[in-house]
Amino acid sequence: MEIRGYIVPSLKALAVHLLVIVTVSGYWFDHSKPEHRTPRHIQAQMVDLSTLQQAPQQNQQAAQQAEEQRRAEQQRQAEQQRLEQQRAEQQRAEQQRQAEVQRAEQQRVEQQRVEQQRAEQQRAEQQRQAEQQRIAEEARRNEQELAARREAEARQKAAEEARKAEEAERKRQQELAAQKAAEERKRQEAQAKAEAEAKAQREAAEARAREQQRQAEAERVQAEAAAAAAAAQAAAAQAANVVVADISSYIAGMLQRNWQIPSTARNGMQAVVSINLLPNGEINSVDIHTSSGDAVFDRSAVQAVLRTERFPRVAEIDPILFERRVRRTLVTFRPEGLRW
Amino acid sequence: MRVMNVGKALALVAAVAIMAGCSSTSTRTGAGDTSGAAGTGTGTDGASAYGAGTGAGVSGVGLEEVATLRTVFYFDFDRSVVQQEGFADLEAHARFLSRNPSVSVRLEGHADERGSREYNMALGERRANAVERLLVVNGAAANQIEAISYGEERPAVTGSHEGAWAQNRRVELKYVTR
Amino acid sequence: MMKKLIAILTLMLTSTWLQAQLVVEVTQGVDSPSPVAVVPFNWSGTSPLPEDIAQVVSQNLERSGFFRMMSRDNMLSFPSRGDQVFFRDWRISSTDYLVIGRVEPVGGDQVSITFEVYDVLKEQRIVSQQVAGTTGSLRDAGHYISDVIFEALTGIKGAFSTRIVYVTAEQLAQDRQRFRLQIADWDGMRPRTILESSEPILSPSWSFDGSKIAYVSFETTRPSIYVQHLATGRRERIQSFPGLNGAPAWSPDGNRMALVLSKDGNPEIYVLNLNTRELDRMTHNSAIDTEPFWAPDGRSLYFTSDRGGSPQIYRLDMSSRNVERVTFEGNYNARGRLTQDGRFLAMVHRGQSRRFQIAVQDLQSGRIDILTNSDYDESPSIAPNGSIIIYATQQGNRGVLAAVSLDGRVRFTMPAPSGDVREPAWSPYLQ
Repeated sequence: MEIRGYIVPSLKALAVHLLVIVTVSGYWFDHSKPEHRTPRHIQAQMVDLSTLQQAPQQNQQAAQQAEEQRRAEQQRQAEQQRLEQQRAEQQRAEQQRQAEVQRAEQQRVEQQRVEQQRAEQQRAEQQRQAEQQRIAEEARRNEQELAARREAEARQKAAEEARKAEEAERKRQQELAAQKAAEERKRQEAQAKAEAEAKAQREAAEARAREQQRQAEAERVQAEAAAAAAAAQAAAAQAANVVVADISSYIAGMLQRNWQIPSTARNGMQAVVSINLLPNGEINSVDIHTSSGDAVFDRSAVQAVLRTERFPRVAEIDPILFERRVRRTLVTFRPEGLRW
Repeated sequence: MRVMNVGKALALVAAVAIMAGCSSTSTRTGAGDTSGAAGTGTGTDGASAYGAGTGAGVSGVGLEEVATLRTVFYFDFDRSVVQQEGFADLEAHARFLSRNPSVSVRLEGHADERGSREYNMALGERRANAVERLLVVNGAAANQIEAISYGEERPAVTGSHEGAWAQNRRVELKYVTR
Repeated sequence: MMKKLIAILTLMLTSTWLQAQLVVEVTQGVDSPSPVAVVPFNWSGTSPLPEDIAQVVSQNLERSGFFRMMSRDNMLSFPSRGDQVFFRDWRISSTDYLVIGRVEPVGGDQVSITFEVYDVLKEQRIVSQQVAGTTGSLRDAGHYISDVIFEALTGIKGAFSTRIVYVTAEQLAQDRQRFRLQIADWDGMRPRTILESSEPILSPSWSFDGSKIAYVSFETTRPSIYVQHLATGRRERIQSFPGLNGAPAWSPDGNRMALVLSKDGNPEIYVLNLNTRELDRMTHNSAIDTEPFWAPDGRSLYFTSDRGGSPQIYRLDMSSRNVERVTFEGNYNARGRLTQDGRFLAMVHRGQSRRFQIAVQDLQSGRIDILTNSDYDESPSIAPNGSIIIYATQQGNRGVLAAVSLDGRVRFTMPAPSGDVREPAWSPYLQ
């Protein structure tokens, strides 16, 4: 009974103490508790705002703290947002700046390209003009030359005529005063000499031009020949193979017409005959190179060659190719498609 | 097979009574030239056959009764089944044989010229056997019948066409004495 | 290092060697007989010879289908000795081979025959031989010489000295026929009748040594199997059961005979031991079993049977008695015969064309080749050298004998005696 009388007060006392401890502990453990709360704070951050509002009912202190923290957080967030905004703005500005720079660069490049193009065009134009000029000049030169030549010719003709006339005159006036004749002759000679000199000069120039042209032409031909030779060498090898393949099927065709396959022949039998040919296509000699093992079969192969006597088209082959590839020919007689 | 033959034979027995009279005139010509008429009996086929077979005519027995019956029976190519049209006459022959145990017949089977000779020999025998069976199931005794094959060796008609072949694929029934 | 060098060197040498030669391949040829000239043999005797040996040789070679003979009218010269041969002349007339010879009297009717064979293209003598004979046996000498030449030129043993046996039938009157069993040279010459009857004779078959012939005769109006000795003419009836007694076939060892009997009600194959006269029934089938023939080794029998619905050729193993079908192509394959090497089966065949033709089946590959081209060909029989098949066919409503090479290249008809000729059987090589 007594004990029960103690129980209630002591429980109350315990409750009061507890209450005190709890109330005080808010201050005592002020430093440690937030550390424990940290996860919750993170959780709260993630949860909806309405759930946050329910929290104070459970624990005002915690709510207050949370509220403070939230505000601080909000503030921090706002600050952060602001900073971010600022950064973004900066970035935008930077981007803008960069775009500007890029645009400028592009512009520059474009300008450069255009300029280059223009320069190229100009150069091409210049080249073209130069070329035209060169052509024109050449034409002019040619014309000049032609004119000069024509003039010279005309002059020559005139001189000739004049000389003739002079002579006639001289003959006619032979009886006239010797002095006059001498003078006349001197004058004539001088004139002729000048004429000749001019002509020689002209001819030398012409010869020089001709020589230059000839040389250029020779160089061109030489270069072309060198290129052709290289190509020809490659082509020649291939051409030789073509010729050889062609002559091979030609010989096979001739022999086919002359090969009487013996009745003892069976699919799979094979005799190799070696033929020595002459450049005119005639058969110099025939030998069994590899026997089929069947005397009659071997003989039929040799007979096919002997019966052919000559391969006329072999005579058309290039002698070197003939020596290298055709003179000694191996023929394999191997029947296909026999009944058995 | 045997049952069916008996069945057919029974049916024929009934039919014979009706048909015997009507068919008598037409069969005679068909049989006459090949068998040399049944009345003269055996041995007229091979010219100078050695040994048996050339008996005198079969006298004393009323062969007139079968003289009007068909004695040649035809077959399809490479077949040994007696054609329906011969059934009635074979039945009549069988009845005659059963009533006259002293009379016997020789069945000569033949083939047309096509194909190999020994195979045709076998084919001819098979045809003769087919006719023999029909006679036996209709009352004739086996010891009254001799079946023999000539293969393609003795054609009734020469010539290489279906007309000749059809007449050569046959069994000839010939009466002989013991 | 040294090895490597050698290897490279070898490679180089080989490659240049390969380069130095043109390599040609010929896989097709002409399918025509070789041209041969057989010059008339010179005869130094006084009275003319009864037989032209060169003619016999020439005909034999031509009939073999392997050669094309040069006409005597086209010959520029008639050499009979080697020193008289001018190859150029023969070459101009496109002759591949030249046969020359001479016959000299030795005394009495004895003669000595010398013959030579030349390869005109190579200008080389291939054969030279001397043969002794009599004026009465010149045809035999001709066949012998043909055999020698044939073997030298084709590599195949000649079969010109062999014989054939066949049946002739004549219609003497409406109801009278005459049947004959005849033996002749392979080419149908010198026929000799060994049996004559008014009743059918069929299925002649040679004993393996060629001394006897078995056949079926109806001389008693019933078929019986007889054996006739050729030397003496003596004969014996060896089988005469009721029903069929047919298709005798000698075993390769000569001790047994396969035959067909229907004594048990149906045609079956039996083997008769010729020494003990014991009969051994080989087939048990309600179908037709007939036309037995032996494999060359005697270990199996081939025969015709319609057990599958149509006549086909089957093979029966003698020891196991197992039967297997051999032919599958066509709806009629009968009367088979094997070549001596056992590889090829000749038979009467009817396929898509509905004609009865001679065909040959390669038993190795199963391939069938139809060799003849008429409607009623039958009774193929193969020469002992396997090169030619003789068979019966029809020519203008008459039965005649014809021959075709096993490869189908050459076909020719034998000279026909009177009447229908049928059922040829080729003898083995004769001594």
